[in-house]
Amino acid sequence: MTESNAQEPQHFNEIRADRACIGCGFNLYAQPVSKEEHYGLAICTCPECGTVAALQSYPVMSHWVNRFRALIAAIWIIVLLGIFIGYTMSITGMAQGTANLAGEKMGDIIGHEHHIWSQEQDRLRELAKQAGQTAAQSATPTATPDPLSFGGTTTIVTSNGVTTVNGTIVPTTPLSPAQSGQYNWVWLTQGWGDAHLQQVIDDSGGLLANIDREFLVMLIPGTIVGTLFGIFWSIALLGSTRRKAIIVPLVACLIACMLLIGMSRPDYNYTYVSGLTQDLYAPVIGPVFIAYMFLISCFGVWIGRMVARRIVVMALPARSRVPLSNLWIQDGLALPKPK
Amino acid sequence: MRIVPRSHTCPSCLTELGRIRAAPDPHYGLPVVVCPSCSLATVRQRHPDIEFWRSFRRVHSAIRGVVLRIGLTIGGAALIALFVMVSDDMFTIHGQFSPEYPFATGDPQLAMGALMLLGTCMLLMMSMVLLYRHRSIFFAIAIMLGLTLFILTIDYTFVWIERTMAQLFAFISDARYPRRSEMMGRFIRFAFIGSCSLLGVVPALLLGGIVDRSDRRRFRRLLNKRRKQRRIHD
Repeated sequence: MTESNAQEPQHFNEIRADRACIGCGFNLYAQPVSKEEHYGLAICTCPECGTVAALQSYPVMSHWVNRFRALIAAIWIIVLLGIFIGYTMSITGMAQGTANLAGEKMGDIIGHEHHIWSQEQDRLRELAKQAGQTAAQSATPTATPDPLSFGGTTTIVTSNGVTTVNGTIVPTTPLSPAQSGQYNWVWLTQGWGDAHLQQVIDDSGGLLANIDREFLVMLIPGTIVGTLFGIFWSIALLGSTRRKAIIVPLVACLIACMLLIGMSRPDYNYTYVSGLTQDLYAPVIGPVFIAYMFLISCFGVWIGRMVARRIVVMALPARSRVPLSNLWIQDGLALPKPK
Repeated sequence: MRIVPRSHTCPSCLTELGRIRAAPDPHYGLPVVVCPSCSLATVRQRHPDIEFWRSFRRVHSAIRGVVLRIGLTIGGAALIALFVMVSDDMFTIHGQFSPEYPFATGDPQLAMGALMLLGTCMLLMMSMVLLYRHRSIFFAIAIMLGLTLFILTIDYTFVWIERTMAQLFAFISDARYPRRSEMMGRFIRFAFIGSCSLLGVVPALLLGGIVDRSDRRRFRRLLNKRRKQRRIHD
């Protein structure tokens, strides 16, 4: 055996797990394990910096470490799932609120038309009643207890809201839809929606022509919530890249979209106009708002780690930042040096 | 204090090597212990069980530090903003604040309440300066007063955003600005309470020195303990 062969350490295996070099942090995976000649210890030499690492280590004496690791991982996953559900629900709720606001103008139109229709029905009913009754009986039964009399004119308002002046029915002038907003809370009569709703929508120019732009106000809370959740996902999914972390908001937005469209089934009977228009506008405005939430969440994911790093640098002294160094390492940055 | 070294047993003959000093070997610098009974050389390393808990504790304490500091900052600013909002009739009878006569009501209970309020604000500012003493005093003051001002004007800000959007996208906004007199009152009270809270910087500077000295003493104690431990253990 030559001298050089005697100095050459004997290779008998290679590392088959992640093991960081204590010198430079290089991953020693797949590096050859050798037996050095002085003590016969199993060592591995870092190919980057040449630091020798001893591979002999204690066996894990207790199973509790692994159990705790599993427990902490399970709790973390449950918490993340809970936050994911909350995130999806908040997007769905805000999209419904947006649809509600977007439908206010159309709600006024529908409610207004329904109001005129119901007044007409009342008038016809009253006329039919008057035709079947005697002149003496017709004045009093449904009238208010105290008819208003002024200058020989007697005004009676019936319980149905029909006004009669000296026995003649006067059609009341309803408020115009633009000035009220109260028609959103009109209770739709059974059967009216099936018979008249589509015609009212078509006559008014359609759903898109009558969007109440006040729904844009929902962009303010949407921006705040979306950015905050994006920042959270960016930090919580520190193990993955930011591009992969965007998948979580994407999935949440898709689920929210499906929930919104699935829940929005317009019911024409026994409902408030507000509820009806919310259901009508949800499939129109909801996906647009959810797409906006997705974009804002992506923005949050993009800036999240930077924000977290700024907060850590602001809040913690230099020596306390070291355990949170992953915030820098994941993005290939170096820990900031203390000034 | 008696320091007991961690156990280190020879894997070959089970001799206790805990009290033998692990000198860095001349070839690789590894902490090698040669067993006096069987001459087997072993490297002294930390147990993975201990390492797990140690790293867990480090990360936990760092996260706790961040959450506590941020929480205290936001909570402190919100508390000062709350004091500013509720103190409109604390200083004067009809909320007409006059800096010359801050306690014009003459009601001793109200005056005591106002003093306690100012004392609390000073304490909060003192805590902020102590918390952010690794940065600078001005940073702590700026972050505290800036955050308070933001909370105080949050309603105005949101109304402004909504009305700007209403103008931009041509819809009718029903949001109303707070009254001018209300905003002026808020700003004057904020200026008074904010400047009073700045008095908390003085005790913070004195306490900061004491805390820093205490930290240094604690660090020295820990260092001495570790050195002693290493002398026995290695």
